This record gives sequence, C-alpha cells and structure tokens, in this order.
Amino acid sequence: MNQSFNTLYKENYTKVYRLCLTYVSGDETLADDLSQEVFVKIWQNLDQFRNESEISTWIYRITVNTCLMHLRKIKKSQEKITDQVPENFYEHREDAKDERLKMLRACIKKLNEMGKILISLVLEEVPQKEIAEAVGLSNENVRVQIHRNKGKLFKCMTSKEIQNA
Amino acid sequence: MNNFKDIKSIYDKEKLLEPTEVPKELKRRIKKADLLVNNSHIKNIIILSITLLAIVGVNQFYFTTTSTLFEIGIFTMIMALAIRITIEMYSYRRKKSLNVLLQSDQFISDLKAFYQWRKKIHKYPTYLTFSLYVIGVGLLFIEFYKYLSTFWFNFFLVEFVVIIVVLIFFIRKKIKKEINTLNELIELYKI
Repeated sequence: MNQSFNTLYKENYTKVYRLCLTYVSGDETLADDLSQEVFVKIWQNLDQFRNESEISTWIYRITVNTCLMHLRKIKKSQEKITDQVPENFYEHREDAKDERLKMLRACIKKLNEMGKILISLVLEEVPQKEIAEAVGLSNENVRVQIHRNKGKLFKCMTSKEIQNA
Repeated sequence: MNNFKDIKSIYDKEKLLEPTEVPKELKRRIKKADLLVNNSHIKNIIILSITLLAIVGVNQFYFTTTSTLFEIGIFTMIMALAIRITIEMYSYRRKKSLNVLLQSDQFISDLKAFYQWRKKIHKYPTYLTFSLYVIGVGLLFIEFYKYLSTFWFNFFLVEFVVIIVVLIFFIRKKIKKEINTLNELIELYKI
C-alpha cells in the first residue's frame, strides 16, 4: 500500500464516513462498510486522477456514486432494521447521543436521494461550486435544490421539535 | 430552531476520531476487490459453465450410442445454458462499465439503464432459457424409457414434474420480487 494512499485515507476518511453516515441515516455499520468501499474505489482509480479538479471533489464524487450504487444494500439493511429491531432500539443505543442529532437524521431520511446527497455535502461545508462539479448539476440548479431541501429539513426539524416540546 | 446554522450546529456536535492508519479490513478488501470470483455474475458464469461442460462430457464419454432425439435433447440443454452464460457475461460487462468517476447525474442515468436492462433479462430470456432446458431434459426422458422399467420411469417422471412445478413457483416468485425491487430503485434514482 503506497504512502500517498495512506495519507489520502488518513486525511479524508472522517469526511467520507460522515457523508456516508448522513446518507444512511446514522447506521454506523453500513456507513463504515460504504466508506471502505469508497476507499477501495479510490485505490482502484487513483492512477486516473488528473489534477483538473480538487482531490476532494474527486473523492466526494466517488463517495456519492458509491452510496448511490449501493442503494439496494442500504434499502435492504434499513428494511431489516425496521422489520427486526424493536421500536425503542435506537432510544437505548443512542442514549448517549444528542436527541436532536437523531431528529436531524430522521428528517434527512425523508428527503429524496439527491436531496440527501446535497444536504450531506452542505453539512460537510463543501463549497457549492464543488458540489455542482461532483453531482453534475449546474450551479444554479444546485443552489435551487439546496435551498429547497434546506427548507424541507428546517420544516421537518421544527415540527419534530414542536412534537417533542 | 431559527435557521440552518442551528441544524449545522447539531451536525457538528458529533465528533469523530481521525484514523491513524489504514485498517487491515480495508487492506483485505482492496486485495479481494480485483479477484474475479468475488463477483456474483462470475460465480453464476462458473457454475453454468461447469454444468455445460458436465453435460458435454457425459454425452461424449458416457452415452456413446444414442438416438437423434437424445442428441436434440442434449443440444437444447446446451443451448439454454449457452444463452444464459452469454446473458450473464454481457450483464457483467455492463455492470463493470459503470464508472464511479462520472458526475453523479450521468452515473445515475447509467445505473437506471443498467437496472432497466436487468428488468428486461428477468422476463422473457429467463423463461426462454428455463423452457429450453426443461424441453431438453424432457427429450432425454423419452430415450430413458427404453432402458428403465415402467416403475422407475414413472418414478423419475413424477419426480421431474414435481421439481419443475416447484422451480416454476420459486422462479416466478423471485422474478416478481426482483422486478419490484428494480422498479423501486429506478424510482428512487429520479432526481
């Protein structure tokens, strides 16, 4: 395993993991599995990286596409959780975690696939231009979609807070 | 909750540790990734090819004197397997050509096209290859009639029919489920 890959891994793993974690609504095992898959893809394609764009944009693109590619696995895993895990499972498991983080994940789960991806990237503070480059939408389209999804997320969070109050 | 900054602050509360080295599990996955046999399409191709070779081998070396009907039966079974292997090989090539380096909108459109193709092959080609295989085995039965007693012939015939009925039931159920899943996935990829 070469040095440049090691450095790339250490510098980017957390970002990739957080993106995957948001995309799979907090399923840590699945997020770790997807993150590893992302780095397998990075390893396989490293020689194809040309300095035409930022390495981070390139990694974001691979992360987003890997998550999209494994949508079937994600769906299956989430169905399994709903089928087999008792309703209060997460309450026990995430006792130590912020209740509001749980709410945020539940709200992100309600967005469509592109919405989930855009919000995950926005939360990771990826610049809009880089998001547009990674997902292949125009800057304007990205701006509109981010605005729309932020609105949905905000509405969902507010209603959940009112319910919990 | 007043604005998106509040949402961002919730997200930022989760602290994650930076890794210090590449984990063994990832190193193992990288090594395994390039092995062809890890792919489900390749596994299917290997199993189908072994079956095909076994049929050819048995025909060549075991049944040395056979009738035309028997030969047609063997040929039909071989054809069924050959068609399925070709479909699996093409499907494998299509899946392999999915490029994660593309921009996501293009990648989504390629994924959708791939799932549409999977939907197509789950319909008529599966029924066609299955029917060809069953016809082939059926033709062999006519030949077996000459060599088996009535009891054993009827025994194998009933067994064959039962297996086919059960298989049809499971294959139909599986195809239906798979097509539903593919439809749901295609729907989810709508931007």
